[in-house]
Amino acid sequence: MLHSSGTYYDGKTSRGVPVQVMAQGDGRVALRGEGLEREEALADLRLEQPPGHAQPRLHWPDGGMVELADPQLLPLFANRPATQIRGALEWTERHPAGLVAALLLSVASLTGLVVVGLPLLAAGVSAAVPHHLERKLGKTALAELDQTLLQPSQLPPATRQRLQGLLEKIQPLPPSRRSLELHLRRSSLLGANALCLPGGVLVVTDGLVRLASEDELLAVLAHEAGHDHHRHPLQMLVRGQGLALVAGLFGDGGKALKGLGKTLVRNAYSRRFELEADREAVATLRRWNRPPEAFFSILDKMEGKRGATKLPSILLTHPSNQEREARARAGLRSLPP
Amino acid sequence: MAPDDGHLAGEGASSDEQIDDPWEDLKSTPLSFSGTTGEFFQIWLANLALVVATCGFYAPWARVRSRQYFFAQTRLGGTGFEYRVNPRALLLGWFVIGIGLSLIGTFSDLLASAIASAFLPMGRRQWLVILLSLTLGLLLQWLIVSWLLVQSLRYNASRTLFRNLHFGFGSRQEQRSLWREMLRLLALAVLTLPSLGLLWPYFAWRWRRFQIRHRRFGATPFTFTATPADFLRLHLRALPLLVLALGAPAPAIGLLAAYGDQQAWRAPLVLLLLLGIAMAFLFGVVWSCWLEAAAAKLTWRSIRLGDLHFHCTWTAAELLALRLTNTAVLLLSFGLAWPWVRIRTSRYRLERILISPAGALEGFLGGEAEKVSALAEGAFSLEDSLAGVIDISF
Repeated sequence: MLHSSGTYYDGKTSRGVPVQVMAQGDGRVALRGEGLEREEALADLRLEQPPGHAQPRLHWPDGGMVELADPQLLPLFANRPATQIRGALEWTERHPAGLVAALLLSVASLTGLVVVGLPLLAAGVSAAVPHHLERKLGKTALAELDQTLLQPSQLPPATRQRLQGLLEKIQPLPPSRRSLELHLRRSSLLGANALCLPGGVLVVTDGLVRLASEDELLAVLAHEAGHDHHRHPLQMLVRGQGLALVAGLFGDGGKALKGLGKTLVRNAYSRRFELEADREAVATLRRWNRPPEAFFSILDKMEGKRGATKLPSILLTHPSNQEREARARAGLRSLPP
Repeated sequence: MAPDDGHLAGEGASSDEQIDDPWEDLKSTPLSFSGTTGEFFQIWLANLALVVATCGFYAPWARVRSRQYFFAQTRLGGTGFEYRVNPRALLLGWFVIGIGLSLIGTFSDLLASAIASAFLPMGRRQWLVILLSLTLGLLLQWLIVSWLLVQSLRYNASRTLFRNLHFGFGSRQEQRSLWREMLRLLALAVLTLPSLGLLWPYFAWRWRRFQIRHRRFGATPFTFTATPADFLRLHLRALPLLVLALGAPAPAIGLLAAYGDQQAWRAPLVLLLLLGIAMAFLFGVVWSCWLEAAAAKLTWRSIRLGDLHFHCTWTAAELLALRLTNTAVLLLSFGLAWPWVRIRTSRYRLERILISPAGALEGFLGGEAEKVSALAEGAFSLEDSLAGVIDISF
C-alpha cells in the first residue's frame, strides 16, 4: 500500500497539521492526522507539481491541500494528461538533448521569422493598403519632416519645371494605379539627399539638385521611384512593427541588447531595399538610353560630400558604393539590351 | 474592519510540541530562496523555444511556469508559496488588452482630427490635431491604465497562496475607490515632474501605502505605519549624493565655458568633462542604491500583518555590487546570463527579509476566496521578485 507523509492545510486557517496519506485498494485515498480522518476518491484529487525541485501538492475538492514530504504517492497520478504534459516538459528541461533541441528550435524559428515571416507579412500588408491611404501617410510624414528637418526650397521656378519634366519620365504607366509627386526642400542637416516617403511622395533637396547633372537627377529619381514601386517605406514600417513584436517575445529584460538586435536586422532589410531600388535606377537609365554611369557618379559625388565611412556594412543602412555598383552592373547584364 | 479581525491570538493557535527551544516561536525567521541557476536556465530556455516557435502564443504558459518556479522556491518556515493561475485566461486577457490599447490609439487620433477639421481652417490643423490626439490619448490611457493596474494588483494577489490561504488586494466593493485612488496616484506621479521632484517623497509614501494597506493574507489586512515625514527624511539624507551626482560635471562645464575657445585647453577639458559625466553616473547609481535599500528597510519595518513584524537587511553597498556585476555579466554574455542574474537577485532580495515571531505564522484565518478577472494581468509586469508577498516595484 502506497503512503506518504505530509502537512495538511485546510484552506480556512494557516495552521498546518502533520498527516499520513494512504492509497487504499478500492481507488480511494485516506488522510489521517491529529483530529483528522477523511477519505476521498482518487479521481477527485488533483496533483500539483511546481516546476523544479519543490514539494508536490495534493488538492482536495473542498479546498484542502496536503504538501507531500515524499514522492511515494506520485505513481498513482502517472497516467493523467497533466502529469504527462509536465513529464514531457521536464524531459526537455532536464536532458541536454532536449535543451539543445530547444536552443536550435529557438534560433531556427527566430531566423525563419526574421528572414521569411516578417518580409512576407509586410509584403501582404502593404499590398492590401490602398494607394490613397498610403499617400495620406506619406503626406503626414512630410508635414512632420517640414516641422523638423526640412525648410522650403530656394530653387528658381525654371529648375522646378525641369525636374517636373524628369519626373514625367518615370511616372508609373497606366495599368498601375500609383503615381509619384515631387517635393523640393532645402535641408542643412540632410545635405545633398533624396527621400521616398510612403505613397510615392518624393523629396529632393536643393543640395542634390545643385550637385547633380540632368542624367544623375534622373538616376536618383528613378532610384526613389524604385523604392515606391516595391513599396519599401510601407514595408519597412510593417517590418519594424513586426520586429518590435518579435523582440517582445523575449520578455522585459535586455533592452539595450534587443535594441541593437533590432537595429542590425533593420539595417539588413534596408540594404536589401537599396539594392532593389538601384536595379530600378539603372534599368530606367537604360530605358531612356542614358549611360548607367550617371547613377554611379552621383553616388560617388554624394559620398564625396558626406565623406566615406569606414564602418563595417552590418552597421549601415546602405551598402558600400562598390557593392552597389557591382550589383547594379550585374542586374543590368540580366536585362534585355 | 479592525486590523486584527481575522487573526487568532498567537498562543492558542500554535501548539507545536516538536519545538524544544521555548523561545523558538518568538524568534524571527528569514524568507528562504532555493532556486538554482541550472534549474531556472532550463525552464527559461524551454520557455523561450516554445514562445518563439508558437509566435508568442505560449507566452502565458511560460510566464506562469517561471512564476510558479519562483513562488515554490520561495519558502517561509519550510512552506513554499503557490501561484494558482490558468494560463488560458491570461492569453485571452492579453488579446483583449492588446487590441483595446491599439484601438484607443487609433480612436483618439480619429476623434482629434474630426474635431480639428470641424472647427479650424486648413493651415493650423496640423498642430492642433497633434496636440488634441496627444491629450485625448493621454487622458484615455490615464483612465484605463489606472484601472488595469488596480485589477492586475488584485488578480496577482488573489492568485498567490501561502499555507493554502489566499492573499488578496481590496474587495469587489472597493474596486471603484481603489481606481479613484490609483487615478490620483498617477496624477501625482506626473505632478512630481513640474515640482522638480519635490513631491517625490510624498508620492513614494502614498504609492507604498496604497500597495500595502489594501493587501491582506486570508482575512487579515496588512497595515502600514510609516508617515510622509519618514520618507521625506529618507530622501533628505540621500540628497548630498544626488547633489554630488548632478554637480560632478559642473567644474568641467564651467572651465569649458571660460577657456573652451583656446585650442591648447580644449582636449584636456573635454577629457575632464567626460570624467565628470562618468562620476555623475557613478554617484547616480550609488544614490539610487542607497535610496532603494533605505526605503525598503523603512517600508518593511512599517508593515504589520496581525502579530507579524518584518525586517529587511538590504544594504546599499551590496545592492550596488549586485547591480554593477549583473550589468557587466549581462553585457559580456550577450544576455544569456539572464537566468543567473534573476536567481541571484531574487536570492539576495528575499533572504534578507526576516519575519517575526516565527510562531505566529500558524494563526491566520482565511477570508473569502475571490474571483478576479484575469483580464488585466500581464498588461503590466509588476516585479515578481517578492513572490507576491509584497510587490517591491514601488
